[in-house]
Formats: sequence, C-alpha cells, structure tokens
Amino acid sequence: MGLLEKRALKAFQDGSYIKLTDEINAITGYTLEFEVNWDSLAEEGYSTEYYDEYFTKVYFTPLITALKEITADDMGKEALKEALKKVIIKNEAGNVYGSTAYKFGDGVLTIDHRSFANVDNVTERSTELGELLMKNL
Amino acid sequence: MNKSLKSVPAINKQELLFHIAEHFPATILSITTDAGRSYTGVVLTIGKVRTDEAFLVLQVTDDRNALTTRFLHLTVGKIESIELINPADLLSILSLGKLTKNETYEVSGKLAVQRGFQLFSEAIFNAHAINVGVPVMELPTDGLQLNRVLKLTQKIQQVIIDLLKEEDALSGWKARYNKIAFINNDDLEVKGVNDLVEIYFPFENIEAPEVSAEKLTDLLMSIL
Repeated sequence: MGLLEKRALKAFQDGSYIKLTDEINAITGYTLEFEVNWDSLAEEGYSTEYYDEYFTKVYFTPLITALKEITADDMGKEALKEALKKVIIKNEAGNVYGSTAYKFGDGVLTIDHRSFANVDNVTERSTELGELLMKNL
Repeated sequence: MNKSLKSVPAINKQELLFHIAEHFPATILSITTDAGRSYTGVVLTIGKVRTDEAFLVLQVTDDRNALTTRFLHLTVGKIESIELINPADLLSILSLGKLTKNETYEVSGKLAVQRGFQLFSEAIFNAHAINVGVPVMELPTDGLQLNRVLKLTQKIQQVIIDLLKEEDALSGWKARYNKIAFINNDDLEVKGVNDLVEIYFPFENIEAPEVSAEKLTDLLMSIL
C-alpha cells in the first residue's frame, strides 16, 4: 500500500468511520466492537478518491439499514443486544454479493466483501444482512 | 412423501379425474385406453351423461407439454390407466384433498416469533376490538421449529379472527379470557383455565401435520 492509500484510509478512519460507528451505536443503544482489516479494504488499482463513498455503501449503509429494522421495537433492541457483540469488516474472500458476504456466529457478524465491487447493490446487501440477523436473533 | 402416500384411500378413475378437473386442472395426464392407445394432455371437462356414463374431454399436449389444438373425447370406462406427470401435490390428488403435503420450514429466529406473537394480538384486536393477549410460550431454540411456531401462530390467528365474527363467540371470549398460551404437546387440545386460553399442539414437531382449522374452531367453541 502506497502513501496515497494510507492517507486516504486515515482520512476515512478519522472522518466517516467515526461518524458511521457513532450512528450504529446510537441505533443499537450499546457499543458494538468493530474490527476492520484496513489493509484488505484498500484494494490495489482503485482510486483512493472513492474510499469514502464505496466503503460506506459496501460495508456500513447495509448494516445501518438492517440494524434500524431490527431495533424498530424494544423486543428487537433487546434481542440484538443479547446476540450481537462484534462486527468484523474485511475484504479477503473475494465476495461480491450479500448472499456470501455475511456470516454470523458466537455473537460476531463478519462482513467479507470486495470493497470496489457491486458498490451500488446496497438494497441487496441490506436485505441479505437483515434476513441473516433475523434468523439468528 | 412415500410414507404419506401409503395412507391414501383407494379411489376409482372417475373420482380421480373429477378431483383433478376441479382442483388441479393444470396437471398433465397420460391416458391409455383399453385399445392400447395413449394420449397426453390436460382435462378440459368431465361430466356424466344420462346413461350415467362419465366422459371427459382432454386437450392434447405436444412433446414439450405445450397445449395443442387437438382434443380427445373419451368415455371414462374406456380408460385403462392414468399416469400423472409431475403433479403439483400428488398426496392431495390421490387422497382427493383429504391429505396435503407437509409444510416446509425455513429458519426463523426468536425475535421473528416474538414479533409474530405481538402481531397476533394486534391483528385480533384490530379485527374485533378484543384483547386476547400476546401468546406466551417457551420457545424452542431450533430455527426450523421456530419457523413452525411462527406459521402456526398465523394460522391460529386466522382461526380466532374467523371464530370471533360470531357475536356469541366474541362476547363469550371477552367475558372470560384475556390471556393466551401455546404449549407444546403431542395432540391438539384447548383448555380454558381462569382467564387463560391454553392451546396444546405439536408446535415443535416439524414432521407433524399443520393445525386443522376446523378442529381448532370446534375446540375453541367448546370453552366459550
């Protein structure tokens, strides 16, 4: 990873990432632990100017949408708090669809999706993630 | 499926064809006559003439099961055998609707069931302005069993909504009960215990048949 990528990642970490995780914690009502494999998110050959938009759309917007639906009532908030403790975000397995990108087990949600593929499939990912979480709550 | 098929009653060709024509008209049949000729198609009509002899009209299909403009008019008595090709619900066809294939279940979580319970109570309240309570149940942990509980909840909800359309049933329920519980059991039973309606059913047995709306209605009426 070059300096340009490192700077772009830092800008995302200090800016949108903080806002997004704050928003998520406000939705859940408790502090979720996040573990992000930043190096894997910075795919080689892609412009750093899209980091902000693409990381948000690929990893965070579907999560926010799914969590909003689940926490729409007190039952959902309680069930989520009991079941979801940590979110891992990475780009390792080459997944490009929501159907294969999400795994849930032992209180950990793993999001493993390519950071620059099918970026605008936000609805598909939100639906898949929502269904997966509902099956496990 | 094979186990269920063993329990279907014996039926004759005429009963079978009438049932298919009425309930499963899209079923493709291969009919062989007593002269040894075979025709494949769907039943257009079946009826009886004055001599009490049944006849049927079959619209013939081609090799790709597409309907053609060829039609066969045949006396049922001339039919030697009937083959059903990829029927939608063989069990229902061969049992003349008395049996249906078991429900298939997907995985659900406890939250979905709890929300289903809440909706159960709200739907009945919205339909009849009566508080029957939110079902209480010790939920299983298996996702398929939870899905069965969810589907059964929706069926029980509909049975209660239909039952309470009758004024005497509604006033009887209102006067006595404001709580409801689902209890896992081998058989369907309904008990009224103080202000609580208890519905016993194999909620967790995913191999067991679905609840019979008719039997549940009768049992609920017996405690009102």
